[in-house]
Amino acid sequence: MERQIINKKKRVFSLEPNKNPSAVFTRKYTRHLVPALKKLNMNKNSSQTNQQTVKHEVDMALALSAQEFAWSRFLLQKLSSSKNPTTTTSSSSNRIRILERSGKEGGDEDGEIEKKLKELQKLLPGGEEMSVEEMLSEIGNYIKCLELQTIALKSIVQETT
Amino acid sequence: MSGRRSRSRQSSGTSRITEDQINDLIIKLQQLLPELRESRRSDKVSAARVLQETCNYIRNLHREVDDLSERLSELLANTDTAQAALIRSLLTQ
Repeated sequence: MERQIINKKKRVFSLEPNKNPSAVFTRKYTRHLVPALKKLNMNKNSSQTNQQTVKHEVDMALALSAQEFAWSRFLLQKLSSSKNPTTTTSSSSNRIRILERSGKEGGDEDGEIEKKLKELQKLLPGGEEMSVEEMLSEIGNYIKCLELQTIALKSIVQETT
Repeated sequence: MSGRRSRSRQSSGTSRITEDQINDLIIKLQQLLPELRESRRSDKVSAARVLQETCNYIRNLHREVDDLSERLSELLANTDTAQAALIRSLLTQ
């Protein structure tokens, strides 16, 4: 996010709200999803609009609206190969290991953290294939995009009620 | 038995996290998670707790998205009203 900071004491906020990343994402998301849903609706005669198809479009819109992030690529991959569900046995799964903290008590705690990190890795699309640093930076914007997606979906649902 | 390490994968296989990286992650997650932001009884929340809350939060978000998709698909099943409303919402972008 770029903010114009002038030499004065006042801080100036961007005059271009369209560049606000949250707004950009939400706009992209609805622009992807709504037409896709319309298309689904129009093809209703041939195949039934079941929940899985809608979910597919929902996820697809998410991945397409956040292409600047690594996790979206993994999500796209997963979605496009969703016709043939292959269980990805990640042979190159990055194992998370924590440096031994010398002389510190609570070896259990380290194991606990490691366990939680692995869990987190599974929740993030492509988390298991990313490097650890990448995952650490991606997890933040993934959460943010999920939140924005939820808000967008709620407003779409309210529109059609 | 000691001293022999058989690694099938090189560098990208194992990555070690330093304590600093963990701390950075915890701080960032703490700012993102609503529950942890508001209820700060003590300064330090255990790292494992933050990670647990993060996992829970992501799972909740996933479930919420699933619920909303379900509602959306039910709405789409009612053709006319849904179509009209969708077109309406598209036009009011």
